[in-house]
Amino acid sequence: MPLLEIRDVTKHFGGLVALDAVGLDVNEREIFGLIGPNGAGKTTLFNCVTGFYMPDYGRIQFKGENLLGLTPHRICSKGVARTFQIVKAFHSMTVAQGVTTGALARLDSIEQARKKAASVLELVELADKEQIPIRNLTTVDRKRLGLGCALATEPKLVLLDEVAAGLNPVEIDQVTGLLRRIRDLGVTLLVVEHVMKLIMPVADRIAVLHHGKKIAEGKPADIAQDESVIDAYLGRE
Amino acid sequence: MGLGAYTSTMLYIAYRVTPWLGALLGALIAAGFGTIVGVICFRLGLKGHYFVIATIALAEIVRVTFINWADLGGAWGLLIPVVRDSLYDFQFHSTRVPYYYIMLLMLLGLLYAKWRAANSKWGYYFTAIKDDEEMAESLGIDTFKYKLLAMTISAALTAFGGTFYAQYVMYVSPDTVMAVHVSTDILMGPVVGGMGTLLGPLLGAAIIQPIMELTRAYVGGRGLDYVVAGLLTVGVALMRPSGVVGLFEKYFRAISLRSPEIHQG
Repeated sequence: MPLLEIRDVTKHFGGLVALDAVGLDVNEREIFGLIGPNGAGKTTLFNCVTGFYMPDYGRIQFKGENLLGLTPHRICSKGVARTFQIVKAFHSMTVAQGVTTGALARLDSIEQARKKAASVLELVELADKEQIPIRNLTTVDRKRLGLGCALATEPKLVLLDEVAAGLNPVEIDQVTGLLRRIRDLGVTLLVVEHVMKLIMPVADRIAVLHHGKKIAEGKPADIAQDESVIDAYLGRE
Repeated sequence: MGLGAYTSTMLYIAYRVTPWLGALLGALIAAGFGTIVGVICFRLGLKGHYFVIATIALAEIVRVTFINWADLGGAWGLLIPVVRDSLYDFQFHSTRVPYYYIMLLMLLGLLYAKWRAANSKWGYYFTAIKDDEEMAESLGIDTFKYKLLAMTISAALTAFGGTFYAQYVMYVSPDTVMAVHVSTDILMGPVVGGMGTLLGPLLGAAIIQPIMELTRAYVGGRGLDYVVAGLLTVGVALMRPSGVVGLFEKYFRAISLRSPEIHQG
């Protein structure tokens, strides 16, 4: 049984079909890439899985349990966390406080949540910045923080929305390493990404969305050769 | 605030119930009312300005209802019967000093509760929801529940203040305890001092209230005090949203219990 099972998910916004009968299976301990041009429906799919949108039609199951109709915080408590494309953050908190807030999803004691946050900050390489106010962080560090907050809720599956956008090549390599380390901890990753340099080497499988439809799915090497994907998205040399 | 003032005053006039007990019952009634308002507003998805407008409108409905409620004194209001000084009756006429110490104790109790809350799960969650509700929800926070909690707590605490006010001026009426300016009076302190900080609201009140008193004394009353205080509040909100405390942020770092700005009738 796949960890996350998405079937026939359809979502309209007025006359616009944002998602058209999309189906995906994400397996446990997999890094699954989701790519596609702007407006392809990637973020909409994320919002459907995490309870921010209600699809018009379809089925979404996590560990065999239905997720549709649950509020985002209930979905989080089931073990599905996410980051946001436009980085959201608790701007009046410090880095440590932000991640502690995430850790409180599983813990009631502030002390324990702080300890948990400290270990997560170690993982996302923000330990030396834990006392810095979040509003003073750079873009890279905000992305690390978003990931840290999500990981602090002890998820089985994390949905990452454009974690590498706006990063330089060195930073992209760092994030690649980070994603692998997170997967090795037993966390499954569903990654929306535009940066091919990041997603191609790191993903086990990739699906391509275009105008709300899934036009291809397979191993990164196969996707890179797929004619329809090249036409829709990658472009020809 | 109005509900607290009216509850304790009515109970005192009708049954000589000590205002202390009346304050607790008033807090309960206000908490119940705040919860109902919260459920309606939050289920409708009202946020930010729209939520504020809705709470002002509801407060006005309550005020107009009380103006037309003859059994509760209507627009005339209620006079608290004067008796000799006693703690039971919450009345001190020969000297006003006891009021000062009662208020001081209430303030210290509140600051202690805020300080404790700031270092609890509630404090973290209230701050998180204020900063970014979607992010909070995605991190497993039941934002509906915690917003409702904030509504209930602030309604109950404000009602307690209402009873104190009633016992201090010995008179309640819809226009003194339920008018919109009651809400703005309460809000100017936090805005000027620094919202969401432990000492900001206290500092803000310590700045704004003397300014209003001095304006009334030396410049003239009839609303000019509100013009001065209003300009100051808007100025701070525009130019220094973190308030006066923000100037000393390094020294006053503490996240703390934030409650949504409610306008309690």
